[in-house]
Amino acid sequence: MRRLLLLAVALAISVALWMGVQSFDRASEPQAQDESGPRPQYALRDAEWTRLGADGKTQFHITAATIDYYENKSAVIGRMSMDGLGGDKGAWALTSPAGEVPANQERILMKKPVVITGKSNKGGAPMMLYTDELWVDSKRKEIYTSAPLRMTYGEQQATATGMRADWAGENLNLLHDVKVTYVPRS
Amino acid sequence: APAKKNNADVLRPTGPVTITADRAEWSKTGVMVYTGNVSLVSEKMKMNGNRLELTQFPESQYTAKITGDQAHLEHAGEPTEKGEPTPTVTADASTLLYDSRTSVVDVIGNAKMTRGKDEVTGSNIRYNVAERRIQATGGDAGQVKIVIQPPPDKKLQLQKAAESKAAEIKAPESTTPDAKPAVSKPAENTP
Repeated sequence: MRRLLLLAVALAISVALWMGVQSFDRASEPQAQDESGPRPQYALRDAEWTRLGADGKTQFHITAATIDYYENKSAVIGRMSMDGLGGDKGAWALTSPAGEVPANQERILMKKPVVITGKSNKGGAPMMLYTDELWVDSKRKEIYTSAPLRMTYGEQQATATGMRADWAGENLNLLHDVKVTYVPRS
Repeated sequence: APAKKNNADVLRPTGPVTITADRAEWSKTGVMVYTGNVSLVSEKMKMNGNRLELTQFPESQYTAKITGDQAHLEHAGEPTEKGEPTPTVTADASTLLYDSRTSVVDVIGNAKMTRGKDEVTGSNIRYNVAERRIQATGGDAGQVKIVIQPPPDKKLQLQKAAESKAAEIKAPESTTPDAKPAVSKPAENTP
């Protein structure tokens, strides 16, 4: 009888131990959330990000010191440069110390100081634009800002508030308060 | 030796050109369209309108087509060699078309130009900015009209100057503070 009792007690202890280990395992799974907020799904360093469109062609190409990509499709990018907008013939090369992709949006916000180089110039000095923020919109295939900007293009210098241009560099619109000075070479 | 500059080259405005507008659209073709409160200011010339199409050419040359309810141009006068001021030239029309390569403005549509008090109206007028010469041709809308104010008559001017001087000399006698105000006595029983 005494041996039977000892056997039951040993069984109870082992069951208890087994349940403890299970719960411990569950506790150690990576939490999507911790004190500093959600943790990136991909944390990339010295990264290159090429996004392809549904047609398999390059939409844009980013090189960055850091890219943190999250489950809700948002991303935080550090020290980024971007080109290949709309493919190899993309007209713009962009640089910025910081970028951000809002959740579930198909556009990237580049933060100041943003430098935009227009590659579409025939041999002359490229068009250069400087602004405090710039949206790069994959859906509309445009870059745009509502912030003030400064621009140089050959002998022309311009200032304006707000700008919109297509990725191919066919059209560039300066939206408000436009002032352009042409300084002819003497 | 560098190519000899002709007269137009020497006189052509070469300073910076500043354009201001509400909006601007630059296209790859090289044409730039400015809209809304447009003004183009170069060294001595100013043009205003609602819309400006600017096409650029090598060597900083350009054409500027300004349209508006009435596009307006002002070309400031330059002093002559003797230092005498020359009047400002103005132009108003539905279209002003300036070509920096020829330094000519075509004033098209309901065109009117003034130089000081002189006035020329017609359907099309051409103004050579560098040489300040106006050429106008009649058209379907009728002949060119010109009103030239006669130059001031030198003799008349001298006469007027003398008269005003004489008036000045007479005036101080009667207004010096010590003199008693001249009171005219009523005539006593004079018929």
